[in-house]
Amino acid sequence: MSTVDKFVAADLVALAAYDRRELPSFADSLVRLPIEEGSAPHLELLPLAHSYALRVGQGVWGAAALACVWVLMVFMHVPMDWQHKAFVRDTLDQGSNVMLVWLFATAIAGYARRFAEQRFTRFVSRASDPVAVGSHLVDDVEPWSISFRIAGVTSLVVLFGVVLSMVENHTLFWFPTVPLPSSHPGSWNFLAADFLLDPENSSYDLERLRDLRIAMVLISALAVVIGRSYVRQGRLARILREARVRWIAIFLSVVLLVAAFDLSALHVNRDQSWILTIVTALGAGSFLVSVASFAVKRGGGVEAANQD
Amino acid sequence: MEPLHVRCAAFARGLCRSRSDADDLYQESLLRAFTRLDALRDEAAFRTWMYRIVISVHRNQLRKDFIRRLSPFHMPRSELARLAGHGDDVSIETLYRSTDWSPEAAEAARRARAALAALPTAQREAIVLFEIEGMLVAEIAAIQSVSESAVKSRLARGRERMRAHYGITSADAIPAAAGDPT
Repeated sequence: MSTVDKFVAADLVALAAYDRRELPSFADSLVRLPIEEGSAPHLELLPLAHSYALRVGQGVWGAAALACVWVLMVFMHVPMDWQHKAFVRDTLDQGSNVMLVWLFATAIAGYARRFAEQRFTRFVSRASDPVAVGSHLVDDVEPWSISFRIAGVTSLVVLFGVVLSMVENHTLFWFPTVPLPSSHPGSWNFLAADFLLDPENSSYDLERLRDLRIAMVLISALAVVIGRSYVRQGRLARILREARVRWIAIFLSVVLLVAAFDLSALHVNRDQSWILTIVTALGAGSFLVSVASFAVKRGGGVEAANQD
Repeated sequence: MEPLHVRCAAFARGLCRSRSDADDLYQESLLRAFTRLDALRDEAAFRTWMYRIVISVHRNQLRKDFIRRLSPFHMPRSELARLAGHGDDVSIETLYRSTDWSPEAAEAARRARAALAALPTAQREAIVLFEIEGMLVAEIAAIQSVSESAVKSRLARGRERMRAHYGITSADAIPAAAGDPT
């Protein structure tokens, strides 16, 4: 304490003494639960349920998502009559809806857990700490966790799906139309005005739009699962944690998926469908990398320390 | 790990704004350390490795603060005090009432905590490691993964900020003692 002013040094001594008072034992530090005994024992169910939902969800839904994405990608581009794919497509559509419910349920469970822990346990220990400073008295055990990432990804996917559903159901006529007549085929316009003005004769292939929506949902779930469960360490994790990789993947996924969306929305010549296949695959891959990168970002500091 | 327990737990408290924050940080760091133990290549460097984990986890938590502040669940301090049964009075005298810690000592510790909290993270880490934990500059450099000159710079700037926080001018400062890295 000899290198700072005496007054400051005295305070630092007091702080050091204070910080060494009532330290939790080593054993307590290992098993210390976020919910203090007797405060709200029933709330222990929330973290337990959340953890259980995550474990089950990651395993079962991860495998299901992987299988569904593979099947979907194959069936989207096999040269056969579209009518024969109806059953597969409907099944996948329902599967993606279930997946969305799972994503939302997990996110809500995460929010509920965080809220309960903050509301009923945190303030108790904070208020008994006489030298606590600052306004960040409310903390949480697992902030900005997988639940929030899932919620973010899900929100984007649902927004995407809702817009497409409205288009499919012809309920988007309130959307301000722009004077882009169908005499401009191939125009890079996200919601082509010719569909809005004349849905019966639109050049959009609605079945393919639905395929893309399903693929987005499944890929989102798969990316979260991969990011959280299987790519936590190792070289791939280090690459995914790079901010540059993340932002490049986001940029590519936006550009390529919009391109794929437009290509699939407009009737692509069957002989040229390989272009759509490549663009869609690259876009889906970029999207997967970007979401997995966000998912794996948490905990990077410790692993970075371990690398040295 | 047990021989390091007290020092690491106290170090975590030195970094954080409250004991509860610090105990959470220490617990999280312990869990991370156990799960990553197989990545520790040099067992002789365990102490440095453990401190680095505490610092890494702490920095990660700070990064999350930005998002946390946007949360609708953020509860103002007055609301916390009301729920804890202290009404709107959150003065230190009210808060210390349930402990055997004297008001003067608690006030001194609170002043130091506030001064440390006002420091940038890297400077706070350096100050706590040097002034409270009594580590050498070389050790701190290894823990913070920076050069020794960078640590000296952080220490000097941190002290200057603490003086400013206390309203002490440089002229009032005591001469540097032997072994002062700056």
